Amino acid sequence: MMSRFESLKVISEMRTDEIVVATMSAMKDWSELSSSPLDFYVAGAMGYASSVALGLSLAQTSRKVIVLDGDGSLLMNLGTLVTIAAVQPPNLVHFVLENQLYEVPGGIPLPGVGKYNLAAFARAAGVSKVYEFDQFTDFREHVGRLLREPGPTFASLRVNRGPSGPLPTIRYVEVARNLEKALK
Amino acid sequence: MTQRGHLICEELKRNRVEYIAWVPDSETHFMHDSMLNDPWLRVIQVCAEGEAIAICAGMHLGGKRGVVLIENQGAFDSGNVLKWAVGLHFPLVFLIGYLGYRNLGNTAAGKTKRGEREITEPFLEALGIPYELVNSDQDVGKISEAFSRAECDSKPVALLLTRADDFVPGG
Repeated sequence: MMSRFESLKVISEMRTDEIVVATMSAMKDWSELSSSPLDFYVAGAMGYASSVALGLSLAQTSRKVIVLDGDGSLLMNLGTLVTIAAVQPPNLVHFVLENQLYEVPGGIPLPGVGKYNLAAFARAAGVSKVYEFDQFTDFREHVGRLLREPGPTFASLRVNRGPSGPLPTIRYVEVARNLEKALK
Repeated sequence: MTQRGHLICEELKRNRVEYIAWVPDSETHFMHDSMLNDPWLRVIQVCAEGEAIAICAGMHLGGKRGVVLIENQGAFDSGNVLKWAVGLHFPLVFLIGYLGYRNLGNTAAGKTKRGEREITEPFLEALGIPYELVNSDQDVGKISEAFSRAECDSKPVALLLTRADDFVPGG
């Protein structure tokens, strides 16, 4: 198991000009680690961060787009893996932070924990570059290459439970307009 | 390939649309050949309607224009992401196949048997999404109006497309 904060910190340290789309629990840590105009947060449309990122990757073909998804979120929109595999955006990197919980409403276990494997779902959907990490040193060693190589790339990160509780206060409309301006 | 399908694709291109995020439906079957054979339009077929809405939102953030092409039943299934798109003021245009439109009056009470028409327009109204009916070739110009309105009001606009061919689902 890895610390979610430490894992995201490594990504934030390696980031250059990539767009980052974070959702649900990942928003808590990412909003502490970054204040870039190239950040976007998906709250209120649980499950769709990777779809928003796919749209961004098609519109911004010269930039990498990083998604910080959750396992509960991805389970709400599993078809996204099939769509991403069909479109094959080379600039999309899809991290899924697997804590096996719905953390925001109080740390409720996901259905079917231990019986499914999201990385296997991604492979079966046709995503060609799929990685699984549960050791921080392993992740830290490989994440740079993973961010640089042509995708689409899917990476499952087994992370510890973070603190339950509400999402951070973020001005979502302002964040959206800032990203639009930054990409003009 | 129908005249209306061709007209709609031309109107989309006039409005700088490059992508159509799409779930196939029987009401807008008349669009399929036109859009799939158009060398300018890129069709992204998705697995569920909510994806189409979120993808077009991402394209908008990234400076490109896509339209959503789905059926009204898929819109019902996507209430949460529609609410999100309205809340973030995305000026998106949704082309929505209007299943049930022609069924109005099938019962003694003058109501659709399947319920889609009773629900479609109130559903959009509840979300604060303005809409127009595209029921003839002459209505195709409403597409340009929808893009202007979406930009001006900073919110999504829906166009309800009735069928323009004699396609029989499953036939």
